[in-house]
Amino acid sequence: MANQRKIFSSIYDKYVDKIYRFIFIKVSSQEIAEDLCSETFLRGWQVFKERRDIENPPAFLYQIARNLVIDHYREKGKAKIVSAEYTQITDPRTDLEEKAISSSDLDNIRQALAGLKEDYQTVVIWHYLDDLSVPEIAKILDKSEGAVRVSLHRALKTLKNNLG
Amino acid sequence: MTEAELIKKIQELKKIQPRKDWVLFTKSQIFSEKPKESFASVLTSLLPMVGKIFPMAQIFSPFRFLNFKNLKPVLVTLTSLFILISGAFIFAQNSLPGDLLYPVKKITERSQLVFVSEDNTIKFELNIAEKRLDDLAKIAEKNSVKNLAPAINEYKESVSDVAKSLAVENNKEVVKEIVSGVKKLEEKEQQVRTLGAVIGENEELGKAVAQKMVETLETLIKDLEGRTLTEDQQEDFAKAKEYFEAGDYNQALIELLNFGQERED
Repeated sequence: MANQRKIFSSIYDKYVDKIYRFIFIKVSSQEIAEDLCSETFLRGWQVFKERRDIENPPAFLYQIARNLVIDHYREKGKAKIVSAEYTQITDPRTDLEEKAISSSDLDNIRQALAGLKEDYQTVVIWHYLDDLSVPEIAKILDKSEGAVRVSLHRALKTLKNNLG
Repeated sequence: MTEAELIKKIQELKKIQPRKDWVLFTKSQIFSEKPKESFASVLTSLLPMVGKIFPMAQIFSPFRFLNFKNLKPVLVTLTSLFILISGAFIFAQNSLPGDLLYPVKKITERSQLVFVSEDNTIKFELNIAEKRLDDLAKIAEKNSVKNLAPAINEYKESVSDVAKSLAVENNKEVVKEIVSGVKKLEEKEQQVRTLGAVIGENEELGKAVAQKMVETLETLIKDLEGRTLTEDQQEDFAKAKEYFEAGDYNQALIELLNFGQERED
């Protein structure tokens, strides 16, 4: 058990930022993102304890996070409408000057990303933010690599139009 | 905006990070999380330990072919039932005639009769009659109208049982004890009447006691008349006969039984 704890602890350290960001961009709320992110790792730890081995930890965690986000919108009876215009990005850095310079750019791109449909959002975040390769994304989504590339292309095109 | 510029902008979102204190707190929460253990899981986790401590017991156990994990719901149901039934029996002991759990109390009392020898049956029944009178006293004190009629019926039934057993009792010592017990019961009954309970007369028991005393006295007198007695004994015997003829059966019986004991000593 101690060994498993150690392994999962390093998985947590490695992926907590990515999973949090993935959820935050989708729900646009620090509080909800924190709740769903901790639930993701809690469920992950419970499964990890039972199975002792998980083939692809990031894919496994992303999948849990994705399902939790979907459940969140389903439970709240919300359509996937993101109040992008009124939600400010919570930037944890304390350097106020840096924060002020970058916040408008960050907000613009986040709003544009939040306006995409869920599939496009996911592939963009995974590929450009979390550095997952196309084959890795294809495996997680159980799609062909070609389909993932098409999704990425269409997502960028829509983003460009939205930022126009 | 070129595609490269757009990608660069997207990558700026990497600046979004969770709060450091939240990251640490969540990590500690995840690893300190302990699932709540149910009673069944504790029970099933203990079974292999029993097997380790007593390996032979595992071999001879009739349950060795069973998978206890599959039996978890059965164990939980059985344990819950056991607790429920035990609880009902415990609560029933304070119930009174007319209460929902009173039949359970009655069954418990009656089941004790199995362990009582035949010689002590009548004493046991007298004890039950005393308990019913106590119940009646409690009800009269509380002025619980709905329980009063069932309590009086229960008491009369228990007294009737004593009367029936007394009619067929042949042991003189037991008769003496019961007669003195009945006297106490009558005194107690009188006290309950003063609380306002209308019990009515116990004619059956009164008749059974009187008849049994007459029978016992007649047998004793007949027995002693055929024996050689000392002067003192003759004096006591004459006194006992006087009580008997005067109708004071209780005193006559006490004199004769004591006399018999002195003689045996």
